[in-house]
This record gives sequence, C-alpha cells and structure tokens, in this order.
Amino acid sequence: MVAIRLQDIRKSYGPVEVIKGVSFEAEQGEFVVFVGPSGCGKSTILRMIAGLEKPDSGEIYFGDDRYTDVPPGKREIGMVFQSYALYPHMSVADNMTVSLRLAGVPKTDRRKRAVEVARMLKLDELLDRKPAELSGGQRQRVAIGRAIVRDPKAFLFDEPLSNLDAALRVETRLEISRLHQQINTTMIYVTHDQTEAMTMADRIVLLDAGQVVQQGTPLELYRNPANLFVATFLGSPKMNVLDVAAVSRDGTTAQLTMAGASHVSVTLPSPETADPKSIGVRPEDTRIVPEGEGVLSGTIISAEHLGSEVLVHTETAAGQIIAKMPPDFSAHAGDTVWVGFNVARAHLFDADGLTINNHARQ
Amino acid sequence: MLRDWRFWFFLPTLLALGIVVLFPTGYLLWMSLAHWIITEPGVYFDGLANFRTLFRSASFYDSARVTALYLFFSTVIMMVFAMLMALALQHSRSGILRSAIVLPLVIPPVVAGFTWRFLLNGEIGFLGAWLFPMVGLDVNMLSNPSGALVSVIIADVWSRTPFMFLIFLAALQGIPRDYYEAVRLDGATAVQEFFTVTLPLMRSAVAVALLFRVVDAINTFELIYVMTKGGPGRATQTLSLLGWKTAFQNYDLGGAAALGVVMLVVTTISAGIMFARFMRKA
Repeated sequence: MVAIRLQDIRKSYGPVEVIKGVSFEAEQGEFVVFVGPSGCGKSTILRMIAGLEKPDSGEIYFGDDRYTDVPPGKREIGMVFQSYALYPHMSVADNMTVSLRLAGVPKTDRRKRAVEVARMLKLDELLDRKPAELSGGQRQRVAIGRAIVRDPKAFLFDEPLSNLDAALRVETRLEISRLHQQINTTMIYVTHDQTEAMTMADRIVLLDAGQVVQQGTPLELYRNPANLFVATFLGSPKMNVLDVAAVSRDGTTAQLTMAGASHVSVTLPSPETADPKSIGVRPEDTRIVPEGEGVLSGTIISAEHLGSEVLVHTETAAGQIIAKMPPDFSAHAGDTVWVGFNVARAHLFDADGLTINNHARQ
Repeated sequence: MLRDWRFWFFLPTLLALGIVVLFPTGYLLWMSLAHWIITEPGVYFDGLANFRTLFRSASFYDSARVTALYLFFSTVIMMVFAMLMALALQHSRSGILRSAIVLPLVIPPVVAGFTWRFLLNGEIGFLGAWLFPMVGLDVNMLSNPSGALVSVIIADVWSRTPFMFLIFLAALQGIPRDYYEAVRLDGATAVQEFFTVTLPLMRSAVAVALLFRVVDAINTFELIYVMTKGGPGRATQTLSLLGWKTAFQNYDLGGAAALGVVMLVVTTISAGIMFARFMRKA
C-alpha cells in the first residue's frame, strides 16, 4: 500500500526553481532516504510533505487522500529536526508530550505515554530533566520520542545525525533502523551523507538540483548508477573516473585508450551503443599490481592504513586513482607502481555522463 | 598592592566609578540624615528625623499610591501593546512601519508631554476640544483628577512603548523557526503557539523590559511635570514629583534626599526580586 505519494511537485523561491517536478511514492512501512548534495532540495521536499512549505504545483497524497492543502497539524506526521527543536523550558516528559497536551489529553495519561515511549528509547531515567542537562545523543532520542508519542502515520527526519560525533552517529543510525523494524511505520529520512543513505535505506532517492536523478535499493544504485553523478556520489572512497577514447570498435567490443595507458578492452551492450567517453572503476575493483599486469603507471601520493584495508592514492597521467588494498599491503609515498582494473566491473559513460553498460547480473 | 602592576590598570575604572556613582550616592545618604533647609540657617546632622517626617506625611503615601497606580497601569498597557506590535511586525520587512513605531522614542519626554498636553487641552486641543466632544465625551481630561492620571499614563505609554517593542521584537526574531514548526506539526493553534513557544522563550526579554520599565516609571519626572505639574491637587504627583516639590518648592533638601533614599531602596528591591524571579531561571 502506498503511504505517501508526491506527484510532479514544483517549488520556486523567487526566480529560482528549487524543486523541478519531483514524483515519488513511499510504501507503507518503507524506509526511504532522500540523499543529495547541499542545496539539492531534499529538505524542501521533506518540509512540503510535513506541510511546512506549500508546493507551487503538484499534489501530495497520504494513502488515497489528497493532502496538498492540509495544515501541518492535521497531517499526523512526526518530524525530527536537525536542531531537535526541544523546548528549553520544558522537561523531557513535557517535551515529548507537547502534542498530547495541545490536544487536551489529561496529565496522567500524558505521563503514562511519556514513560512508555521513554522506556522504548532508554530515556526513563531522564524524564524530569531539561534538554540543557542532556547529551547530544539523548536530545536526539527525546526528539525521536516526541515524534513517536503521537503515533504518527509517518516519520520525517531532517538530517537528524549531523550534530552528533562520529561514534554516536553510527550508534544512532543503528537505533533508528531498529526502531523502524520495531514500529514498522513509513519513515522518510533526509541526509547529505551517502553512508547513512546506504546503511539505513530500503530505498534511496538520489536528488540533484531539484530533480530525482535515480531511485532504487542502495545496492541497485551502487552497482548500476544511472550516470556519473550517481556513480561518484555513492561509495566511499569515490569511484575513480578517467577520460577515455575509443580507438577501435568491433561490434560490442571496444578498445579504449586513456592518457598514459595501454589499451583496455571493454564489452558494450550492443553494436549501436555510443562510444564511451569515460570509465569508472570503484576503488575495490582497482588494484596495485606488478609491472606488466597493470594498465597505468603512477606515483603513490599517500597510503591510508585503516586497519582493515589500505587506501592507496596514486597520481597517474590520467588523473588521481584510489585503490583499496588488503591490510598487509606495503606502500610508500613516492613509489612508482602499476595500477590495474577489474574491467568486467567497470562502468562506462557516454559524452553526457549517462551509463552505457549495466551490471544487472552481479 | 601598589607594587602590583595590575592595580594600576583598574585604578581608572575605580576612580570613575567612585566619582560618578559612589560619591553621589554617599552624599545622598549623608544629605538624607542632615537637617538642610535652604531658608533656615545651618546644616547639621539630624539622625533619622527626615525619614520620620516623611513617613508621617500624608503626601508621601498619596504619592506612593499614585506612583503604584501609574506604574501598574502604564506597565500592563505598555506590555500588551508592545507585544502585539512585535508579534504583528516580526515578519514584516517594512522599515517605514517599524520606524514610525519607534519614532516616539526619539522625542524627548518634555516634548512628548507638551504635545499631549496640547492635544488634550479642553479649549484648543485636537482631542480635548474637538474629537472628544464630537463623540459626546465632554471632559477636560487634564483638569479632573482621574482624567489627569489617565492622560499622563496615555502619554507615557505613547512615549515609552517603542522601547519595549524593540526589546520584544529582538527577542521574537531570536526564536529559532524550528520551534514554531515543531509546535505547528503538533497541531497548535496560534494562541497555543504563543503560550507554548513564544512567551516562554521570551521570558528573559520580558524580565529585562520589566526591569527597565519599573525603574523608568518610578523615575518619570519631566513628562508629568510639563503635563500636570503633579496636579490637579495631588492627583498625578508621583514620588519623583514629590521629591522635586520638597527640594525646590519647600527648599527641604534633607527631606528630598530621604525620599530619594526610599526610592532607591524600593527600586533596588523590586529590580532584585524580578532579577531573581525571571532571569536566573531563564
């Protein structure tokens, strides 16, 4: 069942169109992550779902009902703000049950509900504290609690982890995922962090410049990016992208050349496919190899030892390349090395940056 | 201590504070304990005689009552107006409207007093001689006791509301938008929004405004002086006007100083209470 549906939503601020016709559906219970660079319009879309902004055109449906003009208070939505927006003058319990108080629920019932939700979020000890007496992670949980208390039709998260430190971010990410499994309510989550998107989403909606660039499961987007933007946005470290030129074509086989490299032979989906203009290889499909087996030679700029792996950054004639190597790999800045690719897993892009091959079978 | 170089750095501040605050205050205290009437020869220490006289005089209690009424009504009306205007204009970008509201603030109280005195004048004033009679209000506001008090309150509200408006406006604009959005999502009406978010988050601004207001109201002098001189009778004679009369009409400097000390104590205590009540918690 479709829980939330946007239909050709457009929005301009003055002469600038920030949302250029976005359509999308979230299924009941689905965890959808809107991800994209700053200014891509993802927060604006979330705010329109909440009713805090009005689209200039297009429709918003909750289930089968048109909600485009319904005021925010009537949408039964729980929202977690980036700043948490906890009222400094209220205790944790009061903060969590504001919506109930406004609706005229008696104090004892409110307290009961606060205790119930607090237990779920491990906040029971903190109910009588003020937000100023809580840590960042605890405030974050109170904000989530406030959304849960009213038993909403959907949860909206607006970059909820950006004020937390790295360790807490990982922990809270897991907690939100667990919460989603527990209450199984539709969640729409906005972030600019591709790691959050990859780890939490049932489905990622990748936005750029006010448009949906691609949507699908995290793995679909990772393996089959529709274009260069998606390919380089998802994945850390970023995909290596090198300019290439086709020197010969024989049906679906093309010989590609790049600056400072021997030829690379790739397979194209059909004889009609346009010539690839760039090739993308993820760092995990890139290797530092013995001379003779590699495609390009380069100089190591730095080697990042992460314990579980080594990220080797090399400067080659075709550009900078990152290779992910096993933890015992020894590399030193200044060494001259050879770089090889797993060509079978390479992504090919045409002159417009659109993907020309895909990896559905992988 | 004199060898410590740090002493010489705060010496200028200490001197300035001594000259402009400590010395005059000390002098006031001394005056309040002195028999010092200009028309009588000799100035001498007289213990608490000035205070005894003050607390036995009917005009002191009368002035205290007038001051309390004046303080209460002007403050309440001012707060309501200032709050309403700040709420109405918080999202407005019109500088003209805001400037128009702030205009009375830059008009000296003496000029404001004269302006209102002429506006309300029963023979030539626009309000008193023309507008009030037209709507059937045949009163000469300034010449009847309660009318006069109402008049000075109106003039004071007109003149000092902008200051409170500015404090409130600044406080309102400092409230993060997220709070309003969160409470709107929780289904708040405009009134609920005001009492759940706006007012609690403006608490310290309201306390500061009140603090200024109380001190300002107790010390108001020139506006009332030019409008009514404290009359008719003693209807608008506040404590500061009583002080002026005592010093410059009765030439009793000691008595006026005693009144000054009482006002200082009252103002300090009320400011202290307000500070403790609102500022610390906020």
